Amino acid sequence: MSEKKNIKEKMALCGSYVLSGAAAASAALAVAAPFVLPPEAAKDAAAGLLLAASTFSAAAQKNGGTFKPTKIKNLQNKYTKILLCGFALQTSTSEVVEDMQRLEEAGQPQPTAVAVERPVVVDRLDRFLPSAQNNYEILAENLLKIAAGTSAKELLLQANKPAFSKVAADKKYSRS
Amino acid sequence: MAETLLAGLYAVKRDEDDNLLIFLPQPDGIKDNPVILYDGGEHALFSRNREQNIVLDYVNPEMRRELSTAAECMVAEVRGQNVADHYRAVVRHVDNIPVDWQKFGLTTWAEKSGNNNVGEEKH
Repeated sequence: MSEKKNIKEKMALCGSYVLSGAAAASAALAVAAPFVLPPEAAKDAAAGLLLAASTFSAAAQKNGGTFKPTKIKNLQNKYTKILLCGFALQTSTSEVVEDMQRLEEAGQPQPTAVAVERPVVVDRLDRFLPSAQNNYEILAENLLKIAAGTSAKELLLQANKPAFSKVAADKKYSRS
Repeated sequence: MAETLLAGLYAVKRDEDDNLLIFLPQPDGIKDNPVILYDGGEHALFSRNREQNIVLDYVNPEMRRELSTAAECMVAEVRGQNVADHYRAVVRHVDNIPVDWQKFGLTTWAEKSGNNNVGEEKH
Protein backbone atom coordinates (compact mmCIF):
# COMPACT_ATOMS: atom_id res chain seq x y z
CA MET A 1 0.00 0.00 0.00
CA SER A 2 2.00 2.90 -1.19
CA GLU A 3 0.52 6.21 -0.40
CA LYS A 4 1.36 9.04 -2.69
CA LYS A 5 3.63 11.42 -0.89
CA ASN A 6 2.33 14.90 -0.58
CA ILE A 7 5.21 16.72 0.97
CA LYS A 8 5.75 20.34 0.31
CA GLU A 9 9.16 21.82 0.24
CA LYS A 10 9.97 24.05 3.09
CA MET A 11 13.03 26.03 3.91
CA ALA A 12 14.23 28.88 6.02
CA LEU A 13 17.32 30.83 6.75
CA CYS A 14 18.77 30.42 10.19
CA GLY A 15 21.54 31.98 12.20
CA SER A 16 22.37 35.05 14.16
CA TYR A 17 22.85 37.13 11.06
CA VAL A 18 19.25 36.54 10.09
CA LEU A 19 18.15 38.05 13.35
CA SER A 20 20.56 40.90 13.51
CA GLY A 21 19.12 44.38 13.34
CA ALA A 22 20.86 45.16 10.09
CA ALA A 23 19.21 42.23 8.43
CA ALA A 24 15.54 42.94 8.89
CA ALA A 25 14.77 41.99 5.32
CA SER A 26 16.56 38.69 5.68
CA ALA A 27 14.73 38.01 8.91
CA ALA A 28 11.45 38.62 7.18
CA LEU A 29 12.48 36.29 4.44
CA ALA A 30 13.42 33.60 6.89
CA VAL A 31 10.08 33.68 8.62
CA ALA A 32 8.16 33.99 5.42
CA ALA A 33 10.15 31.35 3.60
CA PRO A 34 7.65 28.51 4.16
CA PHE A 35 5.08 30.61 2.38
CA VAL A 36 7.19 31.38 -0.63
CA LEU A 37 8.58 27.98 -1.22
CA PRO A 38 7.28 27.09 -4.62
CA PRO A 39 10.61 27.21 -6.46
CA GLU A 40 9.67 30.22 -8.54
CA ALA A 41 8.67 32.20 -5.52
CA ALA A 42 11.75 31.10 -3.63
CA LYS A 43 13.83 32.15 -6.56
CA ASP A 44 12.20 35.53 -6.58
CA ALA A 45 12.75 35.86 -2.90
CA ALA A 46 16.35 34.85 -3.20
CA ALA A 47 16.92 37.30 -5.99
CA GLY A 48 15.31 40.11 -4.16
CA LEU A 49 15.85 39.79 -0.44
CA LEU A 50 13.64 42.80 -0.30
CA LEU A 51 10.77 41.91 1.97
CA ALA A 52 9.74 44.83 4.06
CA ALA A 53 9.53 44.93 7.81
CA SER A 54 5.77 44.95 7.58
CA THR A 55 5.91 41.62 5.81
CA PHE A 56 7.96 40.26 8.64
CA SER A 57 5.35 41.28 11.14
CA ALA A 58 2.49 39.86 9.12
CA ALA A 59 4.28 36.60 8.45
CA ALA A 60 5.18 36.20 12.09
CA GLN A 61 1.59 36.66 13.13
CA LYS A 62 0.44 34.22 10.53
CA ASN A 63 2.95 31.70 11.68
CA GLY A 64 1.93 32.06 15.24
CA GLY A 65 -1.68 31.40 14.41
CA THR A 66 -1.42 28.57 11.96
CA PHE A 67 1.47 26.44 13.09
CA LYS A 68 0.51 22.83 12.53
CA PRO A 69 2.45 19.71 13.27
CA THR A 70 3.90 18.62 9.98
CA LYS A 71 2.85 15.18 8.87
CA ILE A 72 5.92 13.44 7.67
CA LYS A 73 6.78 9.82 7.46
CA ASN A 74 8.08 8.35 10.60
CA LEU A 75 11.82 8.70 10.62
CA GLN A 76 12.01 7.82 14.21
CA ASN A 77 15.57 7.43 15.17
CA LYS A 78 16.15 4.24 17.10
CA TYR A 79 18.73 6.20 18.94
CA THR A 80 16.29 8.91 19.69
CA LYS A 81 17.62 9.30 23.13
CA ILE A 82 21.07 8.81 24.40
CA LEU A 83 22.82 8.73 27.64
CA LEU A 84 25.54 11.26 27.95
CA CYS A 85 27.99 9.58 30.21
CA GLY A 86 29.32 11.31 33.24
CA PHE A 87 32.92 11.29 32.26
CA ALA A 88 32.15 12.70 28.87
CA LEU A 89 30.19 15.51 30.37
CA GLN A 90 33.26 16.68 32.12
CA THR A 91 35.35 16.73 29.02
CA SER A 92 34.42 18.04 25.62
CA THR A 93 31.62 17.76 23.14
CA SER A 94 33.85 15.93 20.71
CA GLU A 95 34.36 13.25 23.27
CA VAL A 96 30.66 12.96 23.86
CA VAL A 97 30.15 12.40 20.16
CA GLU A 98 33.03 9.97 20.09
CA ASP A 99 31.55 8.08 22.94
CA MET A 100 28.23 7.77 21.15
CA GLN A 101 29.94 6.58 18.02
CA ARG A 102 31.83 3.94 19.96
CA LEU A 103 28.59 2.65 21.40
CA GLU A 104 27.05 2.47 17.98
CA GLU A 105 30.01 0.80 16.36
CA ALA A 106 30.09 -1.78 19.11
CA GLY A 107 26.46 -2.56 18.34
CA GLN A 108 25.49 -1.87 21.87
CA PRO A 109 21.99 -0.69 22.57
CA GLN A 110 21.82 2.98 23.28
CA PRO A 111 20.89 3.69 26.85
CA THR A 112 17.76 5.57 27.67
CA ALA A 113 18.03 9.28 27.94
CA VAL A 114 18.69 11.07 31.11
CA ALA A 115 18.76 14.74 31.70
CA VAL A 116 22.13 16.29 31.27
CA GLU A 117 23.13 17.61 34.59
CA ARG A 118 26.50 19.08 33.92
CA PRO A 119 27.47 21.24 31.00
CA VAL A 120 30.03 20.14 28.49
CA VAL A 121 32.81 22.59 28.20
CA VAL A 122 33.18 23.69 24.63
CA ASP A 123 36.66 25.06 24.45
CA ARG A 124 36.00 28.38 22.90
CA LEU A 125 34.02 30.06 20.20
CA ASP A 126 36.67 30.90 17.69
CA ARG A 127 34.95 32.95 15.07
CA PHE A 128 32.32 32.84 12.38
CA LEU A 129 32.69 30.43 9.54
CA PRO A 130 35.26 31.85 7.11
CA SER A 131 32.79 32.31 4.31
CA ALA A 132 30.50 34.19 6.58
CA GLN A 133 33.09 36.87 6.99
CA ASN A 134 32.32 37.94 3.47
CA ASN A 135 29.32 39.90 2.42
CA TYR A 136 26.37 38.40 4.25
CA GLU A 137 23.82 39.60 1.77
CA ILE A 138 25.58 37.84 -1.05
CA LEU A 139 25.99 34.77 1.11
CA ALA A 140 22.30 34.78 2.04
CA GLU A 141 21.34 35.18 -1.56
CA ASN A 142 23.59 32.35 -2.66
CA LEU A 143 22.39 30.06 0.09
CA LEU A 144 18.78 30.66 -0.75
CA LYS A 145 19.31 30.34 -4.45
CA ILE A 146 21.20 27.10 -4.12
CA ALA A 147 18.83 25.73 -1.50
CA ALA A 148 15.79 26.57 -3.58
CA GLY A 149 17.17 24.73 -6.57
CA THR A 150 18.68 21.73 -4.84
CA SER A 151 17.24 18.51 -3.53
CA ALA A 152 18.96 15.59 -1.87
CA LYS A 153 18.20 13.49 -4.91
CA GLU A 154 19.99 15.93 -7.15
CA LEU A 155 22.98 16.07 -4.87
CA LEU A 156 23.26 12.32 -4.93
CA LEU A 157 22.96 12.29 -8.69
CA GLN A 158 25.71 14.85 -8.89
CA ALA A 159 27.95 12.88 -6.60
CA ASN A 160 29.99 11.45 -9.42
CA LYS A 161 30.40 14.74 -11.16
CA PRO A 162 33.20 17.14 -10.33
CA ALA A 163 31.08 19.98 -9.09
CA PHE A 164 27.51 20.97 -8.59
CA SER A 165 27.38 24.47 -9.85
CA LYS A 166 25.06 27.34 -10.02
CA VAL A 167 24.35 26.33 -13.58
CA ALA A 168 22.73 23.14 -12.36
CA ALA A 169 20.57 25.10 -9.98
CA ASP A 170 19.57 27.48 -12.70
CA LYS A 171 18.55 24.61 -14.91
CA LYS A 172 16.02 23.59 -12.36
CA TYR A 173 14.44 26.98 -12.51
CA SER A 174 14.17 26.87 -16.23
CA ARG A 175 12.32 23.55 -16.16
CA SER A 176 9.22 25.23 -14.89
CA MET B 1 42.05 21.55 21.24
CA ALA B 2 38.84 21.51 19.26
CA GLU B 3 37.70 24.67 17.57
CA THR B 4 34.11 25.78 17.73
CA LEU B 5 32.77 27.97 14.99
CA LEU B 6 29.54 29.89 14.77
CA ALA B 7 27.60 29.30 11.56
CA GLY B 8 25.93 32.71 11.66
CA LEU B 9 24.03 32.13 8.47
CA TYR B 10 22.80 28.89 7.01
CA ALA B 11 19.69 27.46 5.43
CA VAL B 12 17.63 24.45 6.39
CA LYS B 13 15.38 22.84 3.85
CA ARG B 14 13.04 19.89 3.67
CA ASP B 15 12.74 18.81 0.07
CA GLU B 16 9.76 17.23 -1.61
CA ASP B 17 11.11 13.76 -0.87
CA ASP B 18 11.12 14.56 2.81
CA ASN B 19 14.88 14.77 3.03
CA LEU B 20 16.34 17.36 5.29
CA LEU B 21 19.16 19.47 3.90
CA ILE B 22 21.38 21.99 5.61
CA PHE B 23 23.23 24.49 3.48
CA LEU B 24 26.11 26.26 5.15
CA PRO B 25 29.30 28.02 4.15
CA GLN B 26 32.12 25.55 3.75
CA PRO B 27 34.43 25.53 6.74
CA ASP B 28 38.11 24.78 6.52
CA GLY B 29 39.25 21.24 7.12
CA ILE B 30 37.72 17.93 6.20
CA LYS B 31 34.65 16.27 7.57
CA ASP B 32 34.95 13.05 9.50
CA ASN B 33 32.01 11.22 11.04
CA PRO B 34 29.80 14.28 10.98
CA VAL B 35 27.15 14.31 13.67
CA ILE B 36 24.54 16.87 14.57
CA LEU B 37 23.35 17.11 18.13
CA TYR B 38 19.90 18.59 18.55
CA ASP B 39 17.53 18.91 21.44
CA GLY B 40 14.68 20.66 19.68
CA GLY B 41 15.76 24.00 21.00
CA GLU B 42 17.29 27.20 19.78
CA HIS B 43 20.65 25.93 18.61
CA ALA B 44 22.19 22.75 17.31
CA LEU B 45 25.75 21.57 17.53
CA PHE B 46 27.34 20.12 14.44
CA SER B 47 30.41 18.06 15.10
CA ARG B 48 32.06 18.14 11.69
CA ASN B 49 35.12 16.25 12.73
CA ARG B 50 36.84 15.36 15.92
CA GLU B 51 38.48 18.73 16.18
CA GLN B 52 35.80 20.98 14.79
CA ASN B 53 32.36 21.86 16.11
CA ILE B 54 30.01 24.26 14.42
CA VAL B 55 27.23 25.90 16.34
CA LEU B 56 24.13 26.00 14.16
CA ASP B 57 22.84 29.04 15.92
CA TYR B 58 19.26 30.16 16.01
CA VAL B 59 17.51 27.33 14.23
CA ASN B 60 14.51 28.92 12.58
CA PRO B 61 11.36 27.96 14.54
CA GLU B 62 9.76 26.86 11.29
CA MET B 63 12.36 24.16 10.83
CA ARG B 64 12.76 22.86 14.35
CA ARG B 65 10.19 20.16 14.01
CA GLU B 66 11.85 18.94 10.85
CA LEU B 67 15.22 18.80 12.51
CA SER B 68 13.76 17.17 15.59
CA THR B 69 12.28 14.31 13.63
CA ALA B 70 15.11 13.64 11.22
CA ALA B 71 17.38 10.69 11.75
CA GLU B 72 19.88 12.11 9.35
CA CYS B 73 20.28 15.02 7.04
CA MET B 74 22.25 16.02 4.00
CA VAL B 75 24.79 18.70 4.65
CA ALA B 76 25.63 20.80 1.61
CA GLU B 77 28.69 22.96 2.02
CA VAL B 78 28.50 26.04 -0.10
CA ARG B 79 31.43 27.92 -1.50
CA GLY B 80 30.57 30.93 -3.60
CA GLN B 81 27.66 29.93 -5.76
CA ASN B 82 28.41 26.24 -5.76
CA VAL B 83 27.81 23.28 -3.53
CA ALA B 84 31.42 22.40 -2.89
CA ASP B 85 30.73 19.25 -0.90
CA HIS B 86 27.80 17.30 0.40
CA TYR B 87 27.42 14.37 2.72
CA ARG B 88 25.04 12.73 5.12
CA ALA B 89 25.21 13.53 8.79
CA VAL B 90 23.51 11.63 11.56
CA VAL B 91 21.20 13.68 13.74
CA ARG B 92 21.50 12.73 17.37
CA HIS B 93 18.53 13.69 19.45
CA VAL B 94 19.37 14.57 22.99
CA ASP B 95 17.38 15.92 25.88
CA ASN B 96 19.62 18.87 26.21
CA ILE B 97 22.76 19.82 24.36
CA PRO B 98 25.29 20.16 27.09
CA VAL B 99 26.66 23.48 26.02
CA ASP B 100 26.32 26.80 27.75
CA TRP B 101 25.00 28.89 24.88
CA GLN B 102 25.06 32.06 26.90
CA LYS B 103 28.78 31.75 27.07
CA PHE B 104 28.74 32.44 23.36
CA GLY B 105 26.27 35.26 23.67
CA LEU B 106 23.49 33.19 22.17
CA THR B 107 19.97 33.71 23.42
CA THR B 108 16.64 32.76 21.87
CA TRP B 109 15.09 33.44 18.50
CA ALA B 110 12.25 35.38 20.09
CA GLU B 111 14.53 37.42 22.26
CA LYS B 112 16.96 38.18 19.50
CA SER B 113 14.27 39.13 17.03
CA GLY B 114 12.29 41.02 19.63
CA ASN B 115 9.23 39.17 18.45
CA ASN B 116 7.46 36.78 20.76
CA ASN B 117 4.74 35.89 18.28
CA VAL B 118 6.85 33.56 16.26
CA GLY B 119 5.52 30.07 16.77
CA GLU B 120 8.10 27.81 18.29
CA GLU B 121 8.14 24.67 20.28
CA LYS B 122 10.68 23.02 22.41
CA HIS B 123 10.31 19.29 22.13
